[in-house]
Amino acid sequence: MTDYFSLFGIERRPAIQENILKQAYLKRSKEPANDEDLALLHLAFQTLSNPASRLQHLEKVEFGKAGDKQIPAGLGQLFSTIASSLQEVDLELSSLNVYRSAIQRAVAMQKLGPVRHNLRELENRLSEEISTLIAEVPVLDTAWVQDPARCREPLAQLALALTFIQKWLSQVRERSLKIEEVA
Amino acid sequence: MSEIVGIDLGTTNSLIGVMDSGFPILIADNKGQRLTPSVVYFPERGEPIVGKAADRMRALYPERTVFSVKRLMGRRPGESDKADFPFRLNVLNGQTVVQVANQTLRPEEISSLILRKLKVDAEVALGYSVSRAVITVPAYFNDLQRQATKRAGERAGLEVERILNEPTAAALAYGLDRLRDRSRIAVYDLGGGTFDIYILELNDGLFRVLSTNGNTRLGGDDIDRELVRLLKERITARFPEVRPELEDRLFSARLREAAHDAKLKLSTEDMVLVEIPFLTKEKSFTYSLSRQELDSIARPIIRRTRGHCLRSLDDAKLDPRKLDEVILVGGVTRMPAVRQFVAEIFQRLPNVSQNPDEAVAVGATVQAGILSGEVQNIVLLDVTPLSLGIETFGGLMNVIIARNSTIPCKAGEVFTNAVANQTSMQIVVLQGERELAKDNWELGRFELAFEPGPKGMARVGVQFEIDADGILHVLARDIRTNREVIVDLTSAVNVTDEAVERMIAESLDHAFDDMSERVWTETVLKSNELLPAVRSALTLVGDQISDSEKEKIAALVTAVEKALESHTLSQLKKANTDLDEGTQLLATLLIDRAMAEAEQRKKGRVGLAEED
Repeated sequence: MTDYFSLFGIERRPAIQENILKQAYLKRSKEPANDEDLALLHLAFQTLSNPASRLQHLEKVEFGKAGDKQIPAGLGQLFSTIASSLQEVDLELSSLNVYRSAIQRAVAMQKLGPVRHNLRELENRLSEEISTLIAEVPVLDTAWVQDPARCREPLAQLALALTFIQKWLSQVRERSLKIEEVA
Repeated sequence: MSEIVGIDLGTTNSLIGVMDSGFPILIADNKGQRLTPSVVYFPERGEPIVGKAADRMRALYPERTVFSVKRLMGRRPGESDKADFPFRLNVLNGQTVVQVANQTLRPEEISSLILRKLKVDAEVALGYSVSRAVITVPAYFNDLQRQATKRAGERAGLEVERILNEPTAAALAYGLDRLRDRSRIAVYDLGGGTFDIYILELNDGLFRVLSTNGNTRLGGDDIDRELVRLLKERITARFPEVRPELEDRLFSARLREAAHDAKLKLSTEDMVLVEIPFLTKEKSFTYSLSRQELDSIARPIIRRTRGHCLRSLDDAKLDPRKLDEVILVGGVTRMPAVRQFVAEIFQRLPNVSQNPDEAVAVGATVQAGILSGEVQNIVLLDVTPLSLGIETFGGLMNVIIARNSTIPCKAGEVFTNAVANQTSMQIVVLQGERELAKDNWELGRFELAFEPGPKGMARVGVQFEIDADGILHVLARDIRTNREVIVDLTSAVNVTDEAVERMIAESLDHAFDDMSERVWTETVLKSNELLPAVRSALTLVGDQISDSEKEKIAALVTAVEKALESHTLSQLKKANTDLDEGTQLLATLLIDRAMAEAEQRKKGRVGLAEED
């Protein structure tokens, strides 16, 4: 397992300075390299720029294998809200796709107002949730400097929560975009 | 001088360029033309003719003149394509081929004829031989289409040094003089047959593509086709007796040309006179077409780019207000309606300083300069536009490399056997964004054998590598035995004969479906869905259309009702289609209404929050 942090010469810890990472990445990208090295470089940058994948990577390089991949207990409620909302939206969307004429779809679109509203609400809620979790990163970072070993569990939890919520957010966005595309 | 040339192999026109003491120069042919129409005419005797001379033959010998062949590159039979070509298409080894007289040609062979002409023109102008090239493709070209393009180049005697995405090329052309800038750019590329949107970041000589999206079946040709439909309507209204003529291919070709010219003129004029001389032996047809009328036809087509634009912004995690510039590429972007639409979506006026027809070729030439070392201090980080993955249990698409990953890239996953004592695993390589495997593009399939064992015992590593051309290499390995399969997807592409037979059988079914009762029921069903939709549409936005438009729709509704009474299938089918097409404008207005309402709702909510 390559340590992506060392690849860019930055310190291995939960919080990083994104502009420093980006500058290092851009500088390395300009250096001549073979496809193999470039592929690794791109992957490393992609992994570190996203907090969720960065924390997961940190967990892996620091403690060996990654832990549990189940939805964290605290997110169960949110998950069922999202899942049922998305199911509703999908139902509406699939009924739109049945129509073969532009005019039929356009008439059906008139009823989508509440659905679009609902999606926007979900999007806001998830974005807020992500901001809250991101705010925990500096806290974890401070504790990390004291003693990384004791941070193992909170790190894993935070990484997992972020990963799931980001995934749900992108699923919600996908539905919004699909509605735009029908239009 | 650089010995690598840059080529824009376009759907409608192609160009070639070379670096000359640090500047990209486009090369003209011996007639002084830089734009070479991507058209090939096959005369009865002698060599095929390419370019402007071939384009002139299009109206005279429609079945011998091949154009827009780029739309057929890497296309498989049965794939829906609305393009109605006057030349014949056929199927050979599961691939779409063009049939001209007794010659059968693969799309890439025709492309290679165009490339060869460009190569010769360049050699004449430069005075030395040219053997290496950068060729551009739409960003949304999939793996098969990229490979076909590469083979076309090789067949023309060119070593293809790089396959470059068109919008990236356009950005390179645009950004050459602002290398030191740090800025974010959107490239909106609407060509004859394809649409691409690119978001990229310029950073001290480094071009980093943040995201891309697009559609390979959307472009100016669609506007032309709708315009032809309108002209046909007007012609039948005035000369009912010429109806049979309208189905004539030669006549259709003439009409298409007239429509296309009118569209071009309306970019700078408000009104244009469309003239079809000698429609019949004694009658000519003239029609004054307004820009407004063209815009109302074009709007639904232009609007189809909206979702792609929003998606690319979303993927780039960028608010449109954070963009520094929007540049336009492709001839269609000369239309004021397109410029206005772009300004609305990106909330800024587009930059129109580049010639939209030449930007891609200039950029390809710059890339050629980079590869040959003539241009220094520019690095290009491009992305793969479509997700790549394999089919997993339950017919789902398992993404291995996500769309918009910077290339070159490499990723893999380990799979195991779902059933005990399985001795092999079939790996189906897919490209696309849909959740179900069957909805994506299958690039190929192969088998990997392994030692039989209990369920979950086998371990198969599948690795995907995308090179700098955006071409995929797949490697599968049985981890226990280290047995490896490296797959050459070019050979894995061909659809099996069985699949082809099925497709042909399906199309035969289609030919007979007029006879079946089921079809009648379905057609009636469609009418019964359409009529109430049209009625409620008229209640909602009827006040926004002209009386003549209303009368037209009323007539179309009556036609459907009459056909329902008369029990004639062909009549009802046609009436449905006519009503469907005749209510496009109404549909657009309705969607505007739905959108405006949603905006209103959004504003209302924000307003409330502020009051709190």
